[in-house]
Amino acid sequence: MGTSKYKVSKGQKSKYEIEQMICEVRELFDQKDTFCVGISTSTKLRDNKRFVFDCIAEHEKNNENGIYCIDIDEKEINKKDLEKMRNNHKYIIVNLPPISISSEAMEIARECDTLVLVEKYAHTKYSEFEKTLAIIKQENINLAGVISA
Amino acid sequence: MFEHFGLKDLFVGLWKYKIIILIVTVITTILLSVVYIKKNTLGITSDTDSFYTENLYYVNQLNNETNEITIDGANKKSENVGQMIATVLVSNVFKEQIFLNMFDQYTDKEIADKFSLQVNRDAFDAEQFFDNIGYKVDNNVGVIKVMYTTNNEELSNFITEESNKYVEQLNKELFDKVEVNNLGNTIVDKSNGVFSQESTISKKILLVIVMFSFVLICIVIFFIILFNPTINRRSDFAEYGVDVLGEIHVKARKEN
Repeated sequence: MGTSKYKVSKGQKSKYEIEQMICEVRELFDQKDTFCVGISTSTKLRDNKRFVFDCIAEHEKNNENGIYCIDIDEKEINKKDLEKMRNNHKYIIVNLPPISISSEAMEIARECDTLVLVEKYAHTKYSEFEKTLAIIKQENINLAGVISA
Repeated sequence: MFEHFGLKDLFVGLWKYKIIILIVTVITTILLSVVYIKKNTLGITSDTDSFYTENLYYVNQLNNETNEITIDGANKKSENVGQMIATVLVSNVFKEQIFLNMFDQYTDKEIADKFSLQVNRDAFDAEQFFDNIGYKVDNNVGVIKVMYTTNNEELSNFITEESNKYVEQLNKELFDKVEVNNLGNTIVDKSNGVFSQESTISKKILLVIVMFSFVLICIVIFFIILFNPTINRRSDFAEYGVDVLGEIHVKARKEN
């Protein structure tokens, strides 16, 4: 995703940004033949990650073939649960705690096909981001990209 | 460590901490202003000082072209004669003269009884003593204000008399150039609870304090963001080969 393909007015910009972000996430599933995407962050700003997750969940809740959203803060899941879900859902997004501080999140992230990090400009520290990238590399997790929120 | 830091990052960091900068600037300004006012507030230097005295003199410069006059045997140049007289009144020479006159008029025992002062004539430091009693001279718009606190009313009267004598002497010496009028001498007995004192801070000083507070907090913030650099733009992620899938601004978050 580069700069905006369409010109939008200032008032429309906010909703447009969210719609565009959801489109990009959907493309992850379509282009890379992905079943499960994990959403995590390298910072302690979980609210931003929760916001992105909620946006996607809200958008997809009435979609018959929509993305199934799981928040592991609310519902504990394991590798077997994910396998079962493969049979019932086409796409899954899992809201994960920061993988640098949660071993449970790390376990689930390994089972995801790809991972998306939600970061915030001027708040995500280089040190935290580098630490998360090192873990992702070490655990051989596929990182799709970053959403800045 | 500093390879991630640039001018843009500095401004991003300052903007990020704008609320903190604002709050700390206000708090520091208030604190520094209070300290400044207290430091420049006269008369209330000690709880034991019960007498606050103000002597007011009006300085009328008779010849505006006169910018060189002789005070205490020395030629001094000034466009503001009042400022010069104020300088003399607060000088060590003048303070010492007060005590020399006191020593001439009274014995040590009398000084102890009358003024509650234990003095050693051989090693007497008038400057130090005046520091203790909180002595100051202000010069504004031609009015000289001599202010001090003491714990002895007789001592207050004596200093007032000496100030008045000095002003009379000035009038005689500079009769053709300057006219100094005594507007009044006020002694307030604080022990009766009637003491009150005005203290102000000029706009210029306040502006300096605000600027100082602002710069101070900005320097602190600078070091915070210098040693804790943050990712501030899309290109920062690109350095790690990470794609940015979407950008949602704060406004969008609130609207949602």
